[in-house]
Amino acid sequence: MKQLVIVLAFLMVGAVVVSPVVSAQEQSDYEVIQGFKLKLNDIQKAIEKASTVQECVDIATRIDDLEKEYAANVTLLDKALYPDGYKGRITTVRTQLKLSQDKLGIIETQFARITDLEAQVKTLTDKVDKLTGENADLLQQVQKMGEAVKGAGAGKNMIDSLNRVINRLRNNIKDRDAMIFALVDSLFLQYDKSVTSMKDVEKQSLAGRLERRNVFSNIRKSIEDNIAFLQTTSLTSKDLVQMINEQKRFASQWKAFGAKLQGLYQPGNKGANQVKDVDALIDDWGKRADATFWRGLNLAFQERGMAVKPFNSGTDFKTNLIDFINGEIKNAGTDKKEESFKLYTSFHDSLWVTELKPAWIPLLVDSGRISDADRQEIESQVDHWGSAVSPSRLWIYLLILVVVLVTAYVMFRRKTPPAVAEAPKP
Amino acid sequence: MRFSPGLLIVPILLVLVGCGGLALRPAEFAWPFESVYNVDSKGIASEEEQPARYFITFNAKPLLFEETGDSVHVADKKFRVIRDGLGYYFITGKDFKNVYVFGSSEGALSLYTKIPVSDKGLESPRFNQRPPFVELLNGKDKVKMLDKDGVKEGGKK
Repeated sequence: MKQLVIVLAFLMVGAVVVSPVVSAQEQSDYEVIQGFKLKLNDIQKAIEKASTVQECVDIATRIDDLEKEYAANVTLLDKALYPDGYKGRITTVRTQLKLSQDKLGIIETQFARITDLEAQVKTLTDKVDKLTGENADLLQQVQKMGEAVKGAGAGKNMIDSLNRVINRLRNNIKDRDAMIFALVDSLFLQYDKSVTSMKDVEKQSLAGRLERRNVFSNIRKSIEDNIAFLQTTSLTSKDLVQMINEQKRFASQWKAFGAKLQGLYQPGNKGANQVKDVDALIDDWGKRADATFWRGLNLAFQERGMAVKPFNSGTDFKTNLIDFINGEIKNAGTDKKEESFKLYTSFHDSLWVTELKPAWIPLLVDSGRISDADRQEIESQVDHWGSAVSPSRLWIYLLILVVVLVTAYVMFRRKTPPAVAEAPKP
Repeated sequence: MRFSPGLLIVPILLVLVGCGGLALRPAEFAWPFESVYNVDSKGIASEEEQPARYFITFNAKPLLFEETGDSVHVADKKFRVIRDGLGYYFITGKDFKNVYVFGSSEGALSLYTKIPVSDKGLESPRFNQRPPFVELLNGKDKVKMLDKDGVKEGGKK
């Protein structure tokens, strides 16, 4: 067994070491050199055209990226770029950029601030890309494990594993969504002004940055992942509540961002169409979330054997739940009191205090599906059901009273000194 | 004056040294990377990249005739050329089945050997300098390591 582990580890290390070599064989040295020259040439052209601080920051980032990309080919490039060499060419291009900045009157602190924001954007983009890959794997795992769990004989371990993966995926999706909007924020912050007061060149520059950072495709991917996750049948009602909240949060963030974007693009151009596409996707997600919401809430009752009539609106939910409770309150007055008590206990302990009251009801109120008055009415009705089915406590109070009286009497007797017997007279 | 054979020793030695030639060893001829050569309408191949790096030009017609049997339609053909450490030129091109190895001679490149490398013809040949070999890449094919005498690794020897 130990040998097998060693062999597997060796093969894995081998695969990691060999794979880049195999792919690296595809490119010839000549192509590496030509690629470098082409990119350097593009950067020089961009320097000549640059007219804003943001463009200069972009170019500085491109030079940094170029250096990183070709770090392994310095020796080759030194030979190819004789007499300047690799470092000479990079220094030249950086000097050209600095001269261009000076010519444009760009202040160093402004440049540094935007460079920092751009670095943030880059870090966030990398994280988003990493999470995109992870989420795709996790989504596949959830689907496979969900099917396995549905099959006969799914053990506790398997269910626990599935829940762990679901949990991780949910958190990843949430993190990724947050990162995308943080990324967008960092991009807008670089311009320090509203879209309406931007010059055309700034609008184009911002649009270019959004495009380069794949903002639209990342937003689309987020929505698609959320929808795919929402449709996973292995989700519990608690998971669903969180995913529905995620939809609300995302939609509200997009609303603010989408309004800014509308001012950035000319109607009918590619960017404007992308904004519309995202609007439509969010709308679709909202509808699916709504359907899933009612499915999840109905399921929460069905899973616990509560005969609440199916509903798919806030009004129906309130009416059907109150009807159900009233029915049970009536049962409490008949010979079915014991059954109703058991049902109430199950409802209260496994649904009301764990999910309905802390998660579903606030969500219903926040989304305007029911009013706050409806919430109070439901809560009061649940309390009423509790009092109706709970065993009478009168005999307990009587018993306590008896115990207290007996204890007091005994103590009183102990504290009273016994009568002293008179000594016999001699 | 009487002739003495001993007087001939010095001139004979000088002649012998002159015939043996002065050799500067070691010498390294390797190009760090290949050059792409374009053939013009007259059949002259010269470096694609300008300014040229090596300024070597040659008549490509005999080579194209040898490989394709056609020395008429030569314009716009491209070659990949690299020189190894020993000074041999390795030349091939798209759809070539061989790599040609040339040595330099007076005003000419003289064929040293022809190395068969592909039955179907190369799709996208490229050379890399990998001393002591010249590496031949062709799309996703297995990499071949060549020297002046043939394929040393990655193919039929």
